[in-house]
Amino acid sequence: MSAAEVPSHLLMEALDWVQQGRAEDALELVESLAEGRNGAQVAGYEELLRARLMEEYRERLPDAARLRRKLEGSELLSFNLPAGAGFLISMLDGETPVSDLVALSGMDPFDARRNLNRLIGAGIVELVS
Amino acid sequence: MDGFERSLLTFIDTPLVVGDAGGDAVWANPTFETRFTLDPESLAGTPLAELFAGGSRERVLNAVALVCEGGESQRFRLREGGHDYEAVVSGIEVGAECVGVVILLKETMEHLERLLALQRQLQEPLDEVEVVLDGLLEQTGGQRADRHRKEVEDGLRALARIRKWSQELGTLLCGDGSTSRERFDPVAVLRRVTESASDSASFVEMLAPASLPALEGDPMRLEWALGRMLDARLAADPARIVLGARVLGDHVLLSVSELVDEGLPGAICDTPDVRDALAELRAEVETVADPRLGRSTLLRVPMARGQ
Amino acid sequence: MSRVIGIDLGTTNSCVAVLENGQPTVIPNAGGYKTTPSMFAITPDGKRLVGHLAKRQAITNSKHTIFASKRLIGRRFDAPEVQRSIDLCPYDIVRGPNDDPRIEIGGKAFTCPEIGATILREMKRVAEEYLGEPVQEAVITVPAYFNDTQRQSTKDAGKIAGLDVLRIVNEPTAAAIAYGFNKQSEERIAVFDLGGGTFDISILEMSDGVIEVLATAGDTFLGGEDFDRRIVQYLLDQFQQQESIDLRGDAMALQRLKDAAEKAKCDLSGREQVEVNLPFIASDPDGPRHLSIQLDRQTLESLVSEVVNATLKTAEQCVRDSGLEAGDVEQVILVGGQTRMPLVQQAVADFFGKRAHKGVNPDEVVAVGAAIQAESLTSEEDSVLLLDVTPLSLGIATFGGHFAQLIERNTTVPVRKGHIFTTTRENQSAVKIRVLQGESDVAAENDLLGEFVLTGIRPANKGEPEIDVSFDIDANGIVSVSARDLATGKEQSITVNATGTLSDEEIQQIIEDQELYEVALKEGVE
Repeated sequence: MSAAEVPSHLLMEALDWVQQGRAEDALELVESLAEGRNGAQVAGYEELLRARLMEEYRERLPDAARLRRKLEGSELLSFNLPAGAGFLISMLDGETPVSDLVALSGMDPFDARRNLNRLIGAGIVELVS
Repeated sequence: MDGFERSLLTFIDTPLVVGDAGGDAVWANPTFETRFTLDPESLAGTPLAELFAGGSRERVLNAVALVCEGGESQRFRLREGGHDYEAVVSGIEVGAECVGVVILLKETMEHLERLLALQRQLQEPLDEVEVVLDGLLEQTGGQRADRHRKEVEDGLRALARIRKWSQELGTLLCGDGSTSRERFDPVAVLRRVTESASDSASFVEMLAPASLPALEGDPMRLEWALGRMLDARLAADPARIVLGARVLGDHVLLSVSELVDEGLPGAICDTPDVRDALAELRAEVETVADPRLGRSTLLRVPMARGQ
Repeated sequence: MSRVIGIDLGTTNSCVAVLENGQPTVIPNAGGYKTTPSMFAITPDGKRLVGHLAKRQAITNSKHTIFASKRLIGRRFDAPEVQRSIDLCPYDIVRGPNDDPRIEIGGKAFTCPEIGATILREMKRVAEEYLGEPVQEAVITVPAYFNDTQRQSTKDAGKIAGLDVLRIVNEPTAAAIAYGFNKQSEERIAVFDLGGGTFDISILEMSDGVIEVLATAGDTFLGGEDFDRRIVQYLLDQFQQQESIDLRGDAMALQRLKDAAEKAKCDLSGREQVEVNLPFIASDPDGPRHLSIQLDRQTLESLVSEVVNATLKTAEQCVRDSGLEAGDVEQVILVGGQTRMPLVQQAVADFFGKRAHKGVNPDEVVAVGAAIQAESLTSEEDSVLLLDVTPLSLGIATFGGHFAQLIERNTTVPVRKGHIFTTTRENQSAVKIRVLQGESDVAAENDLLGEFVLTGIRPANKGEPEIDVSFDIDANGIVSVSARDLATGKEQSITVNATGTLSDEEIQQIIEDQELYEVALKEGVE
């Protein structure tokens, strides 16, 4: 399958979102299409979106930044978090720089940064000033 | 040369350039363009000799002149871009008239063969030195010759090390050119490619987890192919290149993504030898491009069996 | 003159100490911990991690995290311990050019001394940061059973790390030095060392500042890790019962479980019950799953009783070797964090018929002993006299492939012993002396330490010439051997430079590589 093949309208919509500055939403949409008929093409867009978002995540959360938990106990448990996010939360100590957290997690660095950004967005984790 | 012949030559994994009877270039196949980093637009009309580095120019010039004058094919060795070639310059004849020349460059292993021969030749003097040192050791067995004995023992130890390195050299040289088939960690390969590219371009980075399922094939060949792919893309001057790796179903997805600030990067065509290397890994190659995002070349490589 | 430090280079954790104003100080690392995990890792982006950072990602990056490399140091690739490590360790162990085991991580094969050096360099750095001055000299401890090659390789590691190793000291001896420091007692002591990955027991005799190791025994594959593994297994089973989810294939979950198991184990030494809480340990389409399991001391003890019993069997063997009864031992010193467990303390007390000495910290005692020894080697005051034993029998290969023991194991060092040998052929003019270490009667089954040829023997009938072969073992446990033809007086000798250790050139090459790497690191920071 090549780039010349016509992508689905959803794929086009995802690309429009990128132009509107909604690259994260675009990636989520593209990921949901991964099982579709344009498998290889979708994977290609996924790769490009991941590479592009990685840079955004790094700008938002620099390598040297330090994070700590904002919520504990039942407040924390009320969230519907994936295991990867739970693992990252368990590693937060307010001292380890983000770049080390990502390396130590052993996770795909993109997934680790994405989870950390989401945790900050959800108010579960905060930057140590 | 008609279109059909040209299209056949396009697929030859051997650098080839065609010139007219005046000794100017007319056409070169993609392998030649890649190896000699030529701009296809400016190729036509360039004197053939000028396509080569300083040391080889005179020999090319002479060979082309001889062939164009109706002489026999000329063969000589030349070295370009770290590769050794046997150059074959032949005439294109219409009737009895020479209307052009073809220069075919066959890669040779002469350099490696010479090294291997030297490595073999080393064994004989090493054996002789060992016999001499053994003899000396016997004569320095007593306490009074303690200092000399220690020196001889040092000599024997040094000799053992030379032997070991010589053997390693032999193994490396003999292994060259052959394709091994082993299980390997794709992340380690990607890391090496990124590290070596980062020496010259700081905007190349890797995006991969700590470990991935093993692949089966020759890791050196994959490393080489990825390096070539990267070189070709760096030449197109993208804003950033990301080498990615992750699991996709029962495959490992390797990707070379070129991110652009605006528009698409220049057209790219990976050479047949790169394609061969990827085919050995049973990789399915796809390219996806969009002016809003950039271009990504995807290699879907099956995981090694038993995972 | 710069300070001399004492380093306990452990299988699982390492510790560094120094004497300040006559008192030993255990030096904490930047994180405030007095012990540092003996781990080295390379992350996917090429970062080199040592100590706690390496441990934190040990399971999620298991293929590129080296632990317990001490089990491999100075051994041959074909040695059973190496083969067992290959089966057990997630990282790749490959055969090196000297038939030594090498560990491949991050695309590079590291020698065992190189890995040891990484840990030692970290300990050196910790000491330098604390002391505010460069450190160049050290005393390093090794297990009492380490043979000549293993000791030599440990010295190589020190050299690569930029340390001049003044003395290699046996770990139980160091523990006894720490215990006997400033005491003038006459006692027989058992040092029961249950560390993270290994178990060693030694029986020593102290009198008037002289420490003699009477016997030593151990198991290189038994330690606190076995306790942790059993707890993790229990937690996995419980969680599977509760949630029908098997976490065995989930590296992130296993990393959290391992950390939690270690913490629960430590907490249960002071409490009867703990709760292991790991929120968001897994998730499925129904949402996140949390692990919450109660673990009490009784359950823990039932999980690990088998391991504790195994240590007692080894202790029995050691006491037998020393020629004593368990009741003859007057003091028991506990070494290694795992001995904090009440079950272990009780088992040891029951075995020896007395409670263990409480005056020393089990995690730090070996490093403290090394620091005291370091000080005594450099000061002009009266020093503690060390009398160690050779852990393995020493001898030579004789006709028919037999092994002739010249020095039995557990013989006190320094020692010199000799024996008369003769020729096996008519008019034999030379003999080859093959120096071996081990307990088998068959020469080939023991470790070859080195070999040399004695030439110029006068022509005679077989069995007539008399060749005096002598062994010397110095205080570091390093072996020298000489052979003398009594008729001609011709002599030949070697300081055993064990096969499999690194040559000076190789060590220099590694040091240069490390220096190159250090430059690269600084550039990376910018």
